[in-house]
Amino acid sequence: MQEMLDYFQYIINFHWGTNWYQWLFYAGIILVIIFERDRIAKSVFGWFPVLFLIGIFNPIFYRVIFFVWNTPYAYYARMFSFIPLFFCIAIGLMQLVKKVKWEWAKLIVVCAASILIIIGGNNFYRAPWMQKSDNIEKIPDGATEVVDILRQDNRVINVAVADPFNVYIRQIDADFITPYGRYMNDLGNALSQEVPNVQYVMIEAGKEAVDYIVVHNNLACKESFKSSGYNPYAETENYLIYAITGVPHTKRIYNEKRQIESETTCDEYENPIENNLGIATVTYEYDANGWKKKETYYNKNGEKAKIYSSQYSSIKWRYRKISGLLESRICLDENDEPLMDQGRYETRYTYSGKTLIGESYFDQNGQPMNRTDTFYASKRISYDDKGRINGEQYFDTVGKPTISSSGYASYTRELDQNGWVLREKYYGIDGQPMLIAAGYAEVVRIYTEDGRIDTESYLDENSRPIMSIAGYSSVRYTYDQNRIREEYFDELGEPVLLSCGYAAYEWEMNGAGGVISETYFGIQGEELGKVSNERNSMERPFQFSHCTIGTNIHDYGSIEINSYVLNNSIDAIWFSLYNASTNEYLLNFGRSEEINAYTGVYTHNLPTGLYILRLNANGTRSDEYIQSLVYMQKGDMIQYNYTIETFEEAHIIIRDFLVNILQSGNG
Amino acid sequence: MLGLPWAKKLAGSNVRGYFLCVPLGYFLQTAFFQFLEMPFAWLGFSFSSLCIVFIVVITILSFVSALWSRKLSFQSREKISWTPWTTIFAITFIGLLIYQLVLALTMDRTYMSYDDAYYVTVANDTLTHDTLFVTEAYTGLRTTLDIHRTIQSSLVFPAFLSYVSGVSIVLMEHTILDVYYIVLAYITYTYMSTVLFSKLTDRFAFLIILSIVYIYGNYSIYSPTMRLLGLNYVGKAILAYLFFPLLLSMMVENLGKPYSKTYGIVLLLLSASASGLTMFGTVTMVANVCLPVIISLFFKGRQWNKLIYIVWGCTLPAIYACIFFAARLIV
Repeated sequence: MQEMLDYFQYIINFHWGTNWYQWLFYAGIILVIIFERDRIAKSVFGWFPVLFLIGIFNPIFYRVIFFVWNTPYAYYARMFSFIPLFFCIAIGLMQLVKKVKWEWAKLIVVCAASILIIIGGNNFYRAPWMQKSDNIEKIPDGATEVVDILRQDNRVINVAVADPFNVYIRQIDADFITPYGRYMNDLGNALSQEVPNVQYVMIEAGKEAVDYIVVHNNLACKESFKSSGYNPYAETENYLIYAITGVPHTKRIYNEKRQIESETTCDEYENPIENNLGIATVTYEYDANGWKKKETYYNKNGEKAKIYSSQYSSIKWRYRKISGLLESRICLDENDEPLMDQGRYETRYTYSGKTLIGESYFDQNGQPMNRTDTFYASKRISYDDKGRINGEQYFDTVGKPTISSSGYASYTRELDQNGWVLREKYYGIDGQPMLIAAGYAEVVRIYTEDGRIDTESYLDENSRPIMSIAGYSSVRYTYDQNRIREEYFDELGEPVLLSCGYAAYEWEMNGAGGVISETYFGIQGEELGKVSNERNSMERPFQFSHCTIGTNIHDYGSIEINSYVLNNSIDAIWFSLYNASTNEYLLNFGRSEEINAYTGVYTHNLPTGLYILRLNANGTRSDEYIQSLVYMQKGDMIQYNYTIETFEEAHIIIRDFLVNILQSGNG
Repeated sequence: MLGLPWAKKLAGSNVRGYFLCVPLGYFLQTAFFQFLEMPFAWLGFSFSSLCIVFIVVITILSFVSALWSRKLSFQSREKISWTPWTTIFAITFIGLLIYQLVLALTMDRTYMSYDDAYYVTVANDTLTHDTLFVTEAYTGLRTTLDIHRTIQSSLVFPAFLSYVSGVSIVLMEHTILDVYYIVLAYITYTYMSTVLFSKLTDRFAFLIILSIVYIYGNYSIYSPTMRLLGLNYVGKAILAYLFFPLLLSMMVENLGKPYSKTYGIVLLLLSASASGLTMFGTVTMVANVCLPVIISLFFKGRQWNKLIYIVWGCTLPAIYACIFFAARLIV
């Protein structure tokens, strides 16, 4: 109740602010109720607003509006728009005017009322955002001129513009495509800077299939673009227009309905190139309702291609007619024949309302089939009252419960308010709890405050502790900075010795997740043995032990190792100093914010030399010593590792690197 | 013209009737636009075909209204009593009105509201691509039919005005409609003043106070000032500063009289127009009809047949609300 009252108070303050109008409104209602003689007028402008306010400030409406909108304060405030607020004020004050018999006296009362309103109010036309409009259409000066220039390109073009032009461009000409509207994305925010980061905006615009960008016209901006090799496509008094050239980009073709017909990844010379999935072009087909019904992939030669991660060349979708909910999905080979992908040919979806509650799998002839990877032909999904998945049931081709590849026919899950799994239980085809291959029927977890597992326990079909095949009934985790300890217990909660001879295991990691040491303990907690990883521990006599100079390849390119020639694909250069003995990054800076995303993946323990750190499909990295020309893909990193003894060495290395970069004209 | 015969039947005097017929005619027009727009959008017909059909319908209705109006006369003719003080009040009010209109023409405050980016763009997409609610307003790409938005015909009504006038949508919404709606609002408020006050001086006094209340009422972005003097072509703004004052004024005039089927029909048509302005219109129409009707029963005798006004005024909003929520559940 207090929370609700506080919320109501917040809404009232949020709506009215601090001026007098709130009190004039209340006074107006009172005056109408007391003095207005027309009973209908009294009920409409006196009692109706009172009842309306009671109608929105009560527990029932409070719950309803929270149910409909999660954060409804803006909608609550809008409710005030439907009460005759100002009319109550005016009609209330008019009760005083009506009381006066002489017209000259009415004028005095009106003047007095006006003064009261003026003193207590805020002049709308004096608001800081109120300004004389640039033109009769009330759009920024020069906006129409920019649109006229862009219209000279007869194609359907995609234009990214700086703030506040983004609000107006499609108001002026709806033929333009834009990557964002009133809510700007990262590209829009970058374009709106006084001096945009040229390389960043060009590359991002290329990725978003933008044809032109429009930025504010100022000297620094123009110089920045010029120094990066870009001259404006056109210039007006207030804006600069640049065509997207000289960077890898996505080229789009639109059909007559302004749907995307195809997207091709091109290099800076307009040649199709294949991305890290192995495809250069994607074409799209749409059904009569406008939903995407097919996607087909092609290589750079225009031939149908298979995606690296799978073997299909096309995907086809079918949707429900009215709702547009996905009804089926099927992968096709180069000949448009159904292809098995992830153990099935076709997937069909079942819904309850708009909630997905089931999936069924079919073969190339449309007959139910058991997935070859999970061993079931359909599954039913259940949700808790917060809409989170809390169970699945698996069925065979005739609709009977069946054991999945995970070893059970169904499971249920209990989640806490954070969505962490508190309990998971497994069932057999008879619907009864069953022991899975790991030796238990139920897992129970307790978490630390920051979401790490504190204890994991295993239970049998009757929810009693049971020993898992790993040799313990529960495991407790202890976290101490970079050390994690696992302790194993039996059904009675006593420490237990595993078959490999220890009752607890602790490992210590360096800052990059590499294991420095592993320690094994007995039942009494005594240390049984320790294994150190020299490669990760880097014990050195001096404080600074490693320096890395790395570059993040944002897109395609090549590198010649002997002369440090780097192409325009570089979007980040950074330096780091890592102290292996304290696991600290002492120095970590670069010219791109992306540096932080890659802090954790440095393999800084490598011997001196040039390395390429490949970005694998699963998001991990693998390093490879470079001895000759290498082909870079998007997301790969180049790293030159130095092993040093002193801070002064690091200075020299970084200085030399920068000199090389500047001399080569890159970076 | 559309509103004149209804005004003659409902308004208590000729003066009241002339001020009533203008906003009433506007909302009757948008009601018929609402009736046509939804099926046209759902069936995938072009915007231009909607405009042509609507022009034909409105022309016929206007012709019929003109003929019907000739057969009717106002319930009474008001005798205007004008004094020198009335002149002072009138000049003051007209001055304040001109002040607001000039600033509406010359001042710019559209940027600070993101609704402008959406409303004008939707209308421009409708006009440019000759489609109804199948273009993503922020990117310009074709999308599937936005069923929820088809209920809000006020999004495309400015496109119709641009279509028939040849004026660009930006000029239409930012400037022409901005001024037009302020004039329409004050015509409505003048009608309200004729209902509430019998003396001419009192009417002008009311309009003066109301003007100043509006001009100085900039206490938050949700204040009625923002609705009338800010982005006033947006559906929820029209609902707040124009529709509901008209509705409430008509209630004051008609709830005191015996039950009238004519008023019921007007409520029905107005409710369609309100629903087309914004989804809030469906919900608040119910409140703004039910509450005054019920309250009036306690003040003006137990004329229980007036409860039928609730049926007239709430049926269409209830249907539109059902369509809206059904679409949310299904799509």
